[in-house]
Amino acid sequence: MSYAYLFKYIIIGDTGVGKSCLLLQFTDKRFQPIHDLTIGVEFGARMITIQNKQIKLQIWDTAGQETFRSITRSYYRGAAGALLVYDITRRETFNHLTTWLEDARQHSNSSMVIMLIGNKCDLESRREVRREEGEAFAREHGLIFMETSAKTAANVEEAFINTAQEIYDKIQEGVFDINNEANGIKIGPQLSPSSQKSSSGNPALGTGGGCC
Amino acid sequence: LLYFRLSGIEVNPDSVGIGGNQKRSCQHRNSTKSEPDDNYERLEVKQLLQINPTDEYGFEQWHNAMRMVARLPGGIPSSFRRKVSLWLTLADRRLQQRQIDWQQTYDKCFSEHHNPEDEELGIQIVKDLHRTGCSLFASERRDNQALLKQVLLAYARFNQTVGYCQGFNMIAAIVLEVMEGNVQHALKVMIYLIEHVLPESYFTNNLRGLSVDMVVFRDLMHVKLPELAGHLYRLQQESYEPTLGIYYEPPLINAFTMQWFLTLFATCLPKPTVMRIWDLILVEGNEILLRTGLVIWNSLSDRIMAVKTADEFYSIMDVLTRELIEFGPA
Repeated sequence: MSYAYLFKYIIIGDTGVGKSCLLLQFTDKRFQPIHDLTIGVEFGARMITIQNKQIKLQIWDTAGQETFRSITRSYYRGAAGALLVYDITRRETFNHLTTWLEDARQHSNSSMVIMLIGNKCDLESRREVRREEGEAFAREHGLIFMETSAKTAANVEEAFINTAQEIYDKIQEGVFDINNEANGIKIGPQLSPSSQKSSSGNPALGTGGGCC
Repeated sequence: LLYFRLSGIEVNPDSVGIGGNQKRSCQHRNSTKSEPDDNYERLEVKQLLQINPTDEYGFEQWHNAMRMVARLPGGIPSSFRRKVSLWLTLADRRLQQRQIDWQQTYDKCFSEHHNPEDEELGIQIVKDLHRTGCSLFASERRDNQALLKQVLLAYARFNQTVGYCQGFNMIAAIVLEVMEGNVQHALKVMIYLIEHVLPESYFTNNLRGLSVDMVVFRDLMHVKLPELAGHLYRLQQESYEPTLGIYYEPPLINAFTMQWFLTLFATCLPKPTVMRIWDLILVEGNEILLRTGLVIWNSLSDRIMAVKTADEFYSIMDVLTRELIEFGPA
């Protein structure tokens, strides 16, 4: 399938905060209450549209347990966006955010867009982290912030798409050098801008080198 | 280490015993009791039972016989796991060699008394219990989950350095199933697998042992499947960043092979195939991981050769890994 840009994302955060469920809700539009453990990394992809441009999101979902950190880190590199997830019903997952953030910043490129996500907002009665705390953390560290529910799908689309929008804006502003793929952005293999709309399902992809 | 791990490895599926005949044998195992190889099986069991694996000579004979059976087209009949207690015999043997006082170990590992250090471990283990999807054992009934928890906590108490690593739940679920719910036997097999069969530090020190295996495996791919390995390497090379001198794309096979090795294929192949591979791993050793990995990549080779970018590769692997779980390697 043809696309104008490909953005690489990573999803990080403590084990059990709902990273895989967010991905599944976004790519398959369904919720699986019992989701198998992620061992290492898993891959998901979906096409979205931003300002009439087809954008493919290549998303890497990572295992949350500390033991896996050295392995999952190799996927941080070359990511344009990151979803940093905590669970609003478990305070400790919020407390670990600083470590996650330092780790992400250290092993990725400096212009990576980071979206802070307080997941499981459907479980209001069990809430341990106030919304304002999430907002404050995001403000302090220059992140975008949202509360989501992978279960009800609330804000899930928005979380992924707003991150892409931010990346797209940065491209327009010239912050991201799109010719340097280490930024996690790739220009799509489309033949020409006019062929975008009719190109879905076209199997002959990758043949036209007409980027830029 | 690299040289050691590389020596004598063949990509021929028959050498792993999970090649073309495998599907047929799975059907045998799943079918009713009137298996065509029933007589042969009875004969073999009888013969093998006459060998006494408890003394030095008897064990060698028994082990060699098992190695041979494992290489037959049908592999080790599933009934062997019970009747000959294949896995348990191997585990028992090694625990005896280590001169472990089993009664003492048992009392410590399965003690009802909860130590403070169990607390955090226990919480994580419990959280993961229902996320053990590969085996029916884990999800079937609540009391099965209780057994799984016992085994995982027991192992974490037995080896506090390793403790509990996510993925153990998938391994323990299969072990428990073959041990028919006997937690004591399951613990023995877990110890044998993690401490004697798999390479060192597979689940500790940031999975260093696994990382070594990944490097070894990539080299092995270049030796045994040069065309495919070369193709994947070229796709990765596109992500070379000259100013930093790095590839920002990790080696393409890593994401998949890592998971295969860490769960001993429990989450990526059909159950009968997994059982077959586990027999081989237990009888032959961890080299089987590499051999099986080669067989799988080889079976996917044609379709991977057709992709032109790393992104296309990941997209097609999404499909291919689903097919692997359902049908096994072609």
